[in-house]
Amino acid sequence: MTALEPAGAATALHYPIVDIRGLTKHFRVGRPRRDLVALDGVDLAVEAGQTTALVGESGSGKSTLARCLVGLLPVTAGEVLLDGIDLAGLGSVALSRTYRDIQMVFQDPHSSLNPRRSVYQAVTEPLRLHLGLDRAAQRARARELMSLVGLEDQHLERMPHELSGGQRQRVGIARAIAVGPKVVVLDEPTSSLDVSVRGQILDLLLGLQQRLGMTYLFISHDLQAVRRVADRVCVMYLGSIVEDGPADEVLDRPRHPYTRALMSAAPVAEYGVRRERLRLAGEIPSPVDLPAECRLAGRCPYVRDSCRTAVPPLVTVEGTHRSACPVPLPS
Amino acid sequence: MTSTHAIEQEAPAATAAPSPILTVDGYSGGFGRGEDYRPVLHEVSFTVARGELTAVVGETGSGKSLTAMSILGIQPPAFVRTGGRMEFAGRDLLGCGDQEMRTVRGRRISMVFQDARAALNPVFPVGTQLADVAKRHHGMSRALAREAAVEALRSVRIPEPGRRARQYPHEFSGGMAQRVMIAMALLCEPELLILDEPTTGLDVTIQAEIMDLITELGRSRGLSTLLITHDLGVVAETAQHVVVMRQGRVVETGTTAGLFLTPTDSYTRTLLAASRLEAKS
Repeated sequence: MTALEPAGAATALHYPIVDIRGLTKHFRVGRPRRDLVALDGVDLAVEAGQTTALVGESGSGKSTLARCLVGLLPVTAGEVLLDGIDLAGLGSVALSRTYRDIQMVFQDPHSSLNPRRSVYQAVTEPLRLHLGLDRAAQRARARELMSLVGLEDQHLERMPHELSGGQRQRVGIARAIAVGPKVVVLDEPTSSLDVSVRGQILDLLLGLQQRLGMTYLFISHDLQAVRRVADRVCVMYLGSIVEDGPADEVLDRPRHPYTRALMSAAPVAEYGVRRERLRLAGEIPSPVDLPAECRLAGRCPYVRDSCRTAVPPLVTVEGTHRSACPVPLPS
Repeated sequence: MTSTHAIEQEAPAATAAPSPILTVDGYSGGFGRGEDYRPVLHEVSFTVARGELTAVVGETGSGKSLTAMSILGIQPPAFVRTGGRMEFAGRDLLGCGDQEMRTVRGRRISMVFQDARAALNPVFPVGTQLADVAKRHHGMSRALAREAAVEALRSVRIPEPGRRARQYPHEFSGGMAQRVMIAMALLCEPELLILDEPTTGLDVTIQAEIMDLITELGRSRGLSTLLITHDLGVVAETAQHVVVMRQGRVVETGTTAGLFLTPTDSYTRTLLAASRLEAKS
């Protein structure tokens, strides 16, 4: 039943705990039905124990990827391997056991927590469903989780509306780590929070990762937050990865025009910083009936005829830094 | 309807500088009555200089939006004002009645809100909504108003303004819808433009373009602008003056350079530090 991949690489220091291969997701939309390509053959290896950040703007497919990964959306094609095991080949029992290893923290802790359930109920639900713990063990684990995420025992009795945004997100994190997952998918975990709370939540996530050795897939459009937590950065545009590599390389020496545009548009809270802006023409096109050309061709100031003939593949820039733009850009 | 006349009151601190277009002085209030009264704004004071962009920065619950809404008299009905003064171009805003306020609101002070698509009426084409504003505020004929609407879309650099004017709000992206709102606000040729979190929820590249547009329009039209935001990055790039609010109080005001380079209040410093995260080591 389980298609086990040879896990030879697992002995090495770095190995991909999540290996996404050719992941494709289409949505059927409109009348007559047409294919909206949300993910277009994405290959992504998430290294164990590290934080891989997925950045991109609305419509880039980063949230769709997260949802396919945790099983919230069925995939159209491609495979997702978790610790070498192909999730598509698993039956429902084995699958639910596997999903214990991969948990998700959502963007808005206000709408992702049931308003009628106390914090205790929220954090013990996965314990009951996945681990089948008895009441006493649930109680003990709930207290342990509260201290892990920096809350007090008394918060267990509160309802979500009695908590601040930051506290609610701590509950969301407690719920995600309750069953001891190997991988946590963080979908914009700080974007609905105030800046002063953002730093605290990011520090909490970093601390938990150090203590518990979890792997993070961190989805965000907040480049500041990405810089704070990421080891690796993948930049997505219209359903494809256009650049990936070590965080400092991608953020400080971006190669792809889209990454450059994104970096140069992010405002910096410093006085008198003049940024060299790379402007893209127009807006992100509709992902329906995409032509076989570079996804950025219609907007890119460096576009050449060769960009129009095929979708350029990711090619190595240096080490593990890859970019899907063959055009040499001015540095 | 009187135009500007000299300010009789003692102008706070500013001696030689031209009179500010907007003065908020000791504005206080809260929600609830009697024993349930809960104060939320505590003596909020600041000014907006003519032809410049002043930013009010603060986090959730700082009272920045409530203050902005109060300027136009559109604060929630449950809000009880307990004191203070707001003066716009020499006119007492809090003292004037509904009738008088209506001549100020929209025409002399315009406001742009966060969620542009929610602010537009989904059942009318965008051009019709713009033309309605032109008709109402300038008493234009239908044909002229139509032209003014297209021209307004052009002025905020929306491509193909003639075609876009016939489209409905759902056919606009968030960034384009926000341009429409700015076009609508500017159609009345206001003296003061209030922007309440105009780019929150928009992607960074779109945010950058909207802020560029605001800066450029401000400069070319000599607009006085009040920007309400939580984003110090946006402030650093666009504002000349900054007001920092926290829990209903103004904790620091100053020039953008002064605030970023030599912040005096501890909360301002906390906010600045929180906006500049360090890279993972």
